[in-house]
Amino acid sequence: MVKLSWGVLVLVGALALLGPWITPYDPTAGSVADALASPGPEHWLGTDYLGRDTLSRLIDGARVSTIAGFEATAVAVVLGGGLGMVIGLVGGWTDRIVMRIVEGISSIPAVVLAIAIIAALGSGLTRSMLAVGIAFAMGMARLARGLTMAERERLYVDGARVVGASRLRLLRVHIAPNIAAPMGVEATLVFAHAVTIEAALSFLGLGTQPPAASWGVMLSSAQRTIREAPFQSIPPGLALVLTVLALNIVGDALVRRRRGVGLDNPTGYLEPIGIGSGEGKAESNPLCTDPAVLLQARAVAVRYGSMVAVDGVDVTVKAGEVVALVGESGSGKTSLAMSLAGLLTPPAACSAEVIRLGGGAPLDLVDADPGVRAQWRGRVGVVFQEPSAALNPLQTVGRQLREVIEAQRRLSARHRDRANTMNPRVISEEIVDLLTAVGLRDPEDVARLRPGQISGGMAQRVMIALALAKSPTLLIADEPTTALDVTVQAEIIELLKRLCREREFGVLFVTHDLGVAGELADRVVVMFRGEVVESGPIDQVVLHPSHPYTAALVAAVPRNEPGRAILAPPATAAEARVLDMVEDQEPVS
Amino acid sequence: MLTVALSRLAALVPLVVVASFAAFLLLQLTATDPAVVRLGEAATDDAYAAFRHEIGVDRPVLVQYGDWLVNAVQGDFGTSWTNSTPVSESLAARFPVTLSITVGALVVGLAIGIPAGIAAGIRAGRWTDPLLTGSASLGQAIPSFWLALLLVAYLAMTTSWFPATGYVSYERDVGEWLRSITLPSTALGLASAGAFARQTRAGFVRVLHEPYVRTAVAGGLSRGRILWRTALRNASVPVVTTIAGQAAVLVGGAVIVEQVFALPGLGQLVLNAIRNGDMPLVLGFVALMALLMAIIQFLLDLTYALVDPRVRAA
Repeated sequence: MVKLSWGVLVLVGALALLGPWITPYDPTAGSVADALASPGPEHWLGTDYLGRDTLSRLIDGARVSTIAGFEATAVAVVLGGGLGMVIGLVGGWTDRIVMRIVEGISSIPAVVLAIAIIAALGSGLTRSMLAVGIAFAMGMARLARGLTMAERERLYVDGARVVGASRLRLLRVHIAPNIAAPMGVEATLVFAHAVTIEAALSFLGLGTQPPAASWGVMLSSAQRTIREAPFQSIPPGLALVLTVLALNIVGDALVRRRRGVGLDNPTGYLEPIGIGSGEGKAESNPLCTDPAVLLQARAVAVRYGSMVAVDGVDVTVKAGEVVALVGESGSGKTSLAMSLAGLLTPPAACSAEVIRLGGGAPLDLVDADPGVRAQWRGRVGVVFQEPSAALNPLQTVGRQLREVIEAQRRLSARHRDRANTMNPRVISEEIVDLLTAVGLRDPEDVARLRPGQISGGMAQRVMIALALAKSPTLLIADEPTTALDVTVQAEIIELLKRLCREREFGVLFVTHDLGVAGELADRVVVMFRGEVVESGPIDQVVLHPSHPYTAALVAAVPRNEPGRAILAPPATAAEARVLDMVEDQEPVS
Repeated sequence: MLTVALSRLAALVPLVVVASFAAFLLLQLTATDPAVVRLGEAATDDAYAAFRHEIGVDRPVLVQYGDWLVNAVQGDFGTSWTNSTPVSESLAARFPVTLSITVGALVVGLAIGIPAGIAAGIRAGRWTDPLLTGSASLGQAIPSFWLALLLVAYLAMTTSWFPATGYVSYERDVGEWLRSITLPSTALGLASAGAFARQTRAGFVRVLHEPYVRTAVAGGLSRGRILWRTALRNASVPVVTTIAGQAAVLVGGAVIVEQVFALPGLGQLVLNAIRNGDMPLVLGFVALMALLMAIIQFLLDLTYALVDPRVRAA
């Protein structure tokens, strides 16, 4: 489609250049005797009311449209771009005053402003395109200003400004080249608008003046004879549509290229993928039948296109056990966690030998149908990384909890007493219980607030309440404390610890921070580049790391963090040992 | 809510003032002499000077603008140079026509564009998606005045469903009024429908990439519930913003489409004013448009605050 559009544009450009040599007739002369001829061998597209050949005028019109587009775009880019760059660079009061003026002028619709400018300057192709250019310069100025300011900030950071480069040099060498690409994309869209508005103004008699051929002038003469020869309105209109469409498609393609990929999955998080059994299925190792084993995953692999994020990882979580999944960002731990939660979305692809959930009737996630996958998600609670982004900003906390509770009731067939459990009052009580369970004071009030009105720590408690609303047997927490500040981190960890003791579910705790893992986990699984490099009881891994990467992680644990030392006194032996060990490693000075 | 309304209103006043001042300065550039416009080429220099003095164009520009602004606030946009009709009277007589087809076009654009955008958005990635977005792009590329010509040539003239030209005021006959604005509004609104459809779809896709959608999926909410509750409401916020931009495009387009249907709206008025060099009328037209845009922006700001509680709190 993009190639085809380029083709159309090249064709229009070629017609504009070669027009004078290839038009079969003089585009501005004709004899009235030939007026309004139908399309035929003489005149392929017929003639207009003065007997002029429509095809010749169409070809000549390509030249007018091209000139119009270039003129208006040049004015918009030079005037708007220049103005925007200067005020973006100078800043201060100049910027504020000029921006007010630009905003004021922008509040006049572009066509209306162009008409006013034409009223002042007079009509004609060049003057009307100057008018259109000025009208679009306002938007261009805003864009250039924004880009320049962003670029300037970056340069301050880089220090170019500090070493005393003059402003002009800064503009020429650093800013202009960097904002050229986004300005170019915008220019394509201005070009498309200019072609349409040229036609419109010429149609009104304010742009290109007859007898010159412009697609707008042609449409205007077609209007005179719309009764006798309606067909005459078709060729110039189609030419306009094709040109503008091609420009828009090319412009959109340029925008997409600038933004990069990200459009490869239009359904976002909506449609989690299923997990296939992969190639190497027929593994003979029998599954562990220990009833205490809650989650059993074997040879989980996650790919994004050709990139392998998780490469054949095994994970086991027992009831009442906290397993920490530790690794740096990009190690594949979040992909693994999301695949175990049944929440992996395209473009990811996932396969595994076995992913089985115990603690009740066993569920198998591999090759499961959507119904089973929904049941799976009903038994696995998930706490996400950034609590404020993971909550719907437009719904109250209570509403979101209610939706989850209702959805779970609808999913579970066990509730025979539907009328009673769906009772709004019963659910309201449950919401209060959940919010109380996660340690929120005044739960009734919190339920009435929206995510934007509560703190990050409160939001994470709400997030945990959402996970608990499903009465999960397994809780998967993906970096639940990363986005929070240290004191709140400690509180959330305390909360998770308490819930673990009280509710006896298994926890898979994903973190990049071995220190946090040490405070909470019984066992740790260390991931590096999609593979498990080490796993075992937390004490053993921390004190005797067998893999150099684990040793590096241990060394990276922040020491003497105020929150950890003061607010959360080492509660477990393992944690104390992590901290001690870290302390020991500190070089004595 | 009242504070939001008042603060938004206060922010829009300087915009209209700046816009009208810019237009005022711009029209000073004209080479047209009001005395020649009014008295013709043959009058004496004394007569010209007397007329210029009478209408006050011999005073300093700033004084003239200040005078104009003070009167404009009271609804007096000055007097036409060609005849002594007050500008506000001429504008008031034509405005309902332009407003009718602009609002009609907005209704057409929203009525077609939003459902199409939702249809594309909730089935993003399926076969209907490229079909709908492709049609939307095509719709956006079709110039409204050409579509208007086609509707006249191939619908109004071949059937008797809708009139090809003319306007009937709604005070006279609501049914006829609707018939007379249907084709102009359709021609004008179809491109907007394309814009709304693309915006809505893009809004949907953007929302589906928000982490809270994953939370909803994890919570077991059904696909339909997530799309119609979570996604639709969150996606509607940017669409509301688009309406202001589209309103500006539509008002500009209305001036042109009116010509095809020979509607006695502002377009005809301002084109005649330009031909005759009647600057007060042009200025009044530009100021009225800027005011209209400000009012639309104000109404949208209020809608915005209703849809998105975060704005209300700010």
